[in-house]
Formats: sequence, C-alpha cells, structure tokens
Amino acid sequence: MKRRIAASLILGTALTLAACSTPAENDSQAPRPSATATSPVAVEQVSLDVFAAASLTDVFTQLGSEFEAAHPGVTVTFTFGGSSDLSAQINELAPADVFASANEKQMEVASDHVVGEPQIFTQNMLTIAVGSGNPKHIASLADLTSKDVVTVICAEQVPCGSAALKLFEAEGISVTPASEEANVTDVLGKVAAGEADAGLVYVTDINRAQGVEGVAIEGADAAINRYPIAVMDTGDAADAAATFVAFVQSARGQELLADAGFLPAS
Amino acid sequence: MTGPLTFTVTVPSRNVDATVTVASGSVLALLGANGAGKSTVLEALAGLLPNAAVSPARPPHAALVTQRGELFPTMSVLDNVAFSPRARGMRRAEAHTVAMEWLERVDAAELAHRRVTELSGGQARRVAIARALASSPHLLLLDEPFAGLDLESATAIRALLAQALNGTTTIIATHTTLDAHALASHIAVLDGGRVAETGPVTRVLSKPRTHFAARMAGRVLLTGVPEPGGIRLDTGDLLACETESVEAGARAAVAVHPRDVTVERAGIADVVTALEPRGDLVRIHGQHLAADVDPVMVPLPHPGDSVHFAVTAWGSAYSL
Amino acid sequence: MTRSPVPRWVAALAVAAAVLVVLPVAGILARVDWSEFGSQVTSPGALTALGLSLRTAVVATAGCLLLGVPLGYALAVMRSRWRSVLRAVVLAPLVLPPVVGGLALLYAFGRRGLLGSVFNHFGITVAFTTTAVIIAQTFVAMPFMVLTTESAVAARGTRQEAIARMYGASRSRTLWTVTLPALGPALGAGTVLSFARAIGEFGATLTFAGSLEGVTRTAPLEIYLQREIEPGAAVALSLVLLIVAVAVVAVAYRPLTRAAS
Repeated sequence: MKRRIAASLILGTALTLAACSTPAENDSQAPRPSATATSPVAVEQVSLDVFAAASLTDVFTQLGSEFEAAHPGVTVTFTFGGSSDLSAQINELAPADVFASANEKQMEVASDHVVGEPQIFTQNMLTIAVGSGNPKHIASLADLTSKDVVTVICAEQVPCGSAALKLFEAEGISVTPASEEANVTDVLGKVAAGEADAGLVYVTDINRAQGVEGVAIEGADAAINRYPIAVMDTGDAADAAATFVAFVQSARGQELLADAGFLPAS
Repeated sequence: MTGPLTFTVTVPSRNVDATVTVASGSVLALLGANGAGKSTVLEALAGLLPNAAVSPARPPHAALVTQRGELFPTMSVLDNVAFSPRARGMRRAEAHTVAMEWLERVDAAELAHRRVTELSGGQARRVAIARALASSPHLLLLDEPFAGLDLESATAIRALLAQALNGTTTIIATHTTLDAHALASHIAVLDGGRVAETGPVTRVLSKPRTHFAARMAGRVLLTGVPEPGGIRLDTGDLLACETESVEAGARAAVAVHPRDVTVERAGIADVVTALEPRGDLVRIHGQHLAADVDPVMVPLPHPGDSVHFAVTAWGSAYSL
Repeated sequence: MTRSPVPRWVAALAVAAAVLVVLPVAGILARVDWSEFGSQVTSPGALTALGLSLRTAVVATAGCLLLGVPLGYALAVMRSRWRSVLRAVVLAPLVLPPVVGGLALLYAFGRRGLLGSVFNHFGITVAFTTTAVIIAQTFVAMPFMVLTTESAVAARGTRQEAIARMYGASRSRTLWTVTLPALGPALGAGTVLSFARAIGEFGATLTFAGSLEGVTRTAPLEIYLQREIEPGAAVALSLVLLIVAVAVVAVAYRPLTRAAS
C-alpha cells in the first residue's frame, strides 16, 4: 500500500514536471504587460493596447510616454514579446489595437486582423555582438571563420538568421556556428554569458543588452530587416490606434527610433 | 574446533542475559516458552542483532535458520543453497554441485530450479536448512524448525535433521520437549531471558531442579527435606518415597506428573488457581500441585476453592 | 450491486483533477492539422530532433542509473546529520526552474565555469556539444532515480543483507546479488521516470547546450524553433512527444503495480 501511494506521488510529480518542461515556458519570450505612467484625469478615458516586438521595448516605452503626454485621457498599455508569440495571441483574439512586428512574416501571420495596410516604419540591420572588452579582438565578419572563435547565430528559418546567412554569402565566407538559436535573445544570452565569442544580432540589441559590445559589419545593409506596423481589429480603440501609428511614423517618432540605432523606414 | 563452546549473550533491550555451553559436534536444545528469549539468543549468536553483546566473541561461521525461512526471494532455490559456498570463494559449478548434494540430503532436489516464492512452508524450511548446512557452519542455529508445519512435514524434517546434524555443533530453540528428546543431547532451559537450568536432556526433563524446568517437562516439582520414611514437603505433608539418591544434608525434590495426582477428600491441602483443558481431560492447577481429571467422572471445582490432592505415583527423590 | 467506496465529494474532486490534466492534452489534439501532420513530423528537422532526443535520453538515463542509484542507496543507509541537507541539494533540480538549472550548469561547466574553466584550459569545451545535452538531461532526471531508489532501500530494511553477511558475502557481493535484484521494480520505475523527464528536458538544454541541428537541437528545442516559423509543426511535434511520454509512463506503471501487490 505504501508503495502504491509513493508511486502515485512520484507519477503525479512527474506528470506535472513533464508538462512544465514543454517549450511553452520560454520565460524570455513571454509577453508581459509593462507598467505605464497613468495619464492625468481627463474627459474621455481611452485605453490603447499596443503589441510590439521585444527589440522595440525601450523606444516604444518612450514613445508611449510622449504620446500620453500629448493626448490626455489616453493610457497606452504595452505588451512586448517575441513577434511570433504576439501574432499567435492576436490570432487568439487577444485585445490589440496596434501591432508592431520585428518582421513582415509575423504581420502576415496576423493578417486576418489587420485594419487597412501594414506600413514599414523602421528597419534594422545586423551587427556582431562580442563580450565586454572584445577579448578575441573581433573586427569583421571574416574573423568569425577562425577556429578559435565560437560563433552563435539565429536559425536560418528566423529573420535574423536568414539575414546572417545572407551577409555571410555576400562576404563570400563560410562560418560554422556552434549554435543556431530560435531568437535573438538566446544569441545575446550566450555572448553575454561568455559561452560564445561572437553572435549576430541587431544593432538595436546591443544598446539594450548588458555585458556586450557591438562590432559594426561593413556592408551590413545587404541584409536589412523591415519592421511593419498596423492597426488591429481585436482591440477597441481604433481611432487612438491610428493616431499612434501616425505618431510612430512622424518625425519625432523616427527621431527616437534613430537614437536607438534603428534605420529609417526607407 | 574441539572443546565446548560457551557464549554469554547480553541484550539489555530485550532483557536477555544468558550463558549457554554446547559441546563441539553435539546438539543443545534451548527450551523455553514463547517470549522467553530463545530467538534473541540465537539471533545474537548469528550476528543479526546489532545491539547485542556476545562474549567472549561472536562465533564465526554461524548459520541461523529462522521460522520464516528468509530465503533470498530474487534467487532460485539452487542459488540460495549455493550462496554461502560461492560467497566464500567456491566457483559457480562447484558450488552448484555442493548445493544439489545438500538439497538431496533434505529431500528437496526437485525444487532446485524453482522460484523461492513458489515454495510451501515445509519446502521453504527444507531449503533454508540446506542453505545453512551448505555453508559448513561452525555453529548451526535452528529457531523452532518445526513451528507452523503440518504433522507429516514436521516428522519428515525432524527425521532428516536427526541424520544431517551428525557432527555439526548445533543449538536448537524449541518450546516442545519432543524436539529436545529427539535431537539434542543437552538442554538449557530459558526463562525470562535467563538460563534456569542446564544439563543432559533426560536428566533435566526427568529430574528437573527448577519449577520452570519441571513445567516445561510437563511435571510439577515438589520440594522438601528428607526424613525417615520419605520427604517432609514444604507444604507440610509427608510424601512416602525413596530417598536413597538424595545426598546427605541436601534438600530433596520429586517430579510428579499430573496424571498421577487425584483430587480426594484428604491429602495435600491446596487452593485451585486455574483449570486448563488438556484434550478430553481437565488439569486442575493448584499452588503446589496439579491433577488431570476426567470432568465426566469428577465434579470440577472452581478457582479459589480449596482441594486436597493425593499423589498416586511418583519417581524417586533426588537432590535439589 | 455494492456501492462504490468513494465518497461523492472525493469523486467530484477527482473528476476535476482529471479534467485539469486532460483538457490541455485535448486542446493539443484539437489543434493538430491532421492533413499536415504526417509531413510535419517526418520532416528532416523533426526526425533529426526526435532521433537526437531518443539517443541522448537513453544515455542520460544510463547516467542516472550509474550515478543516481548509488546516491539513493547511500542516502538511505547513511546516518550522518548531513543526510537531510544532502538530500535537499540532490533533489533541488526537481524544483528548480529548468532555465535556472541551465544557468547553474553553465556556471559549473561553461567556459568560465568552476569546472569548465579547467576543461577549457586543456582545450575541452562542454557547451554546444551533445555531451552538454546529456549532462543537462542527467541533471534534471537524476532526482527521480535517487528518490525511487532511496525510498525502496529504506522500505526494505537490512535483514536480507544481514543474512547475506552472516553467510560470508562481502559488501559488494551482497549489493550485487541480494540488494539490487530486490530493488528491481523500484529501479525500473526510476529508470522510466528519468527517461521521461530527460526526453522532455528543454530549459537547461537551451541555456547550456545551445541549439544546432543534429548536435544539440533536441525535440523540445525543435518545437521551440518551429513556433517562430510554422506553429502547426510545433503542435504536431508536441503531440509526438506527448504520445512518447504517455506510452513510457503506461509501460512503466504496470510493473510498479505488480510489485506493490
């Protein structure tokens, strides 16, 4: 009898843990609602839900504050995360007024809910992330072919990965990566931890991460990643949404994006 | 090993403090009621009781056979019996041969390749005995080897033991005198964790010197002082019996069997303490004596009633 | 017809529990696109990942047996006062979030890690290799083996071993011929649970081993990648892993109940 109880307990624990270990628990990608400043009391309260790619976190948070200051009564609530997670949630009818994706593919995935046409509002290009102090003295893409250098890139099926491969091809070099991660965050993580000497990430990621430096890539404009933004129909603030999209594309919005390292929309 | 082996077993947690001596190559019966401490003594000698002290030292190469058999359940019968030879260095094939020989000696050869869990009580007991004997023990310890067996199995195993024990120094714990008579040359009577009496089997059981030993032998001990004409019992009555065997100046004892005692109107005065069913007879227990009566013929007294016992036959008296 | 001995409120709670567990599984089943299922689970990436998962899980389980059983045995018989501390540490991987486990492994075996820096000095790297995957899986699965072994050994007592010693068996022989066979059912259960846990391992692998097709991209990592590319394929592959896990546990549970009865 005791053995049966012990067996059931172990089984129960095992099942629970097996359920825990499936990929759904990617903490780094889990969209988390971030705190926003409360707007002053006004006549009409509007809550704007913006879903934006993780790489836009700092920029958009700033954009959001300025937007709230300019439009009293509007509260902007951001959900940052991996673009694939966000598009999946939108397709499950999570309330979103605006969707800013890190690549065109995920906007396609959520295209059923796009109001009007998506517009490219910024672009990003790749750079080499290295550890603080650049211990291996990496200066260019060619240095990544050295056997001494442990390189990590994104998997080719993911935009940052295909961009990396395009750059390698453009340079005419062959790099053997030690790992092909599913997203940029994991690439950055490995470089920051010192496990990898170099990782191909976006320019904007360098500013946001700790413990890494960027080494510019000559000819990085050969592989550019385009960021679309669109108004979505799963939310309930369509007017505010349109205004926000316009703000992002305005001179001020573009200025903030450029400060963060993004490229202009065209 | 020649010469007698003497061990003192002390287990404070079980209130056992017993000294036993067994002559090399002979069988000692450890006789006692249930709970007297027989198993404790044997387990201590076998080294299976961690908090037991054995002096001068634990016997090396002891082998214990318990009532539960305790064969290794994941091995076959043959591997069980071959266990000790193999553990002590014998090669597998040789150990198996030795094991088969012993299985044949205990009349269990056909069980060799059975799983332990398939054996009946009697079969398991035989295999356990074979396992113990195959280990060539310097001291064989048998704990109630016939307990729980049906009459046929018990008789058969008793017979095989009588043969197989030839030359092996053995201590056999039992609560029946039959086993002592059948297999042992000497007996130690254990009562409350202490040895009450020791000696050759026939002497102790026919001429017990303690009440307890007498009880184990199914008798009642009457003690007293020799007088001309018999013994002046401690009860005050005079028992006319031969006192030749009594040493001068010593107290005397007579062992009386309850079947030789009757309830009369006059005789040794006593008070009934208990009534015990003995088959179709009833044993009337008193403080000093006991009598087996047929309840059909004799009206039964009640506990607390005063009775008079008369002893109709008795053995010769002996020194206490 | 006799009434069931289960009180109604217990039955109701049991049903609720069953629903809680079954519903997500049913959710996956409902989402699978059966027309695409076949091609999705037999794609080269999927097959490579599944093969890698099976190979590494088998080796990790062997590692759990080799290391976890002695540890469980020692825990059960040791009398030191450090016993409960040691047990808590050994079972930590059970409650550690797998990503934390991965970080811990990194700090131990990574290039800058406690042991890893020593390895690195001799030109040996552990991270980004299949070995790293096996280490990660062994790390998270071992507590199951230790747990089952320890409770089985403790429940058994030491009588049989004492008898074996009485008959002259050395400690080694006693362990091999008496103790381990008797622990068979428990070891079997521990093996199966460890295997199931190893094959489902994700967080520690991701953080510590990396993700390279055929080398370190096990099935859970392939699922993780497919989420970014083709979510349908992720669902399909998830279902395959689910079936493997359920089959493994179903096979394991029968010997467990047989041993207990």
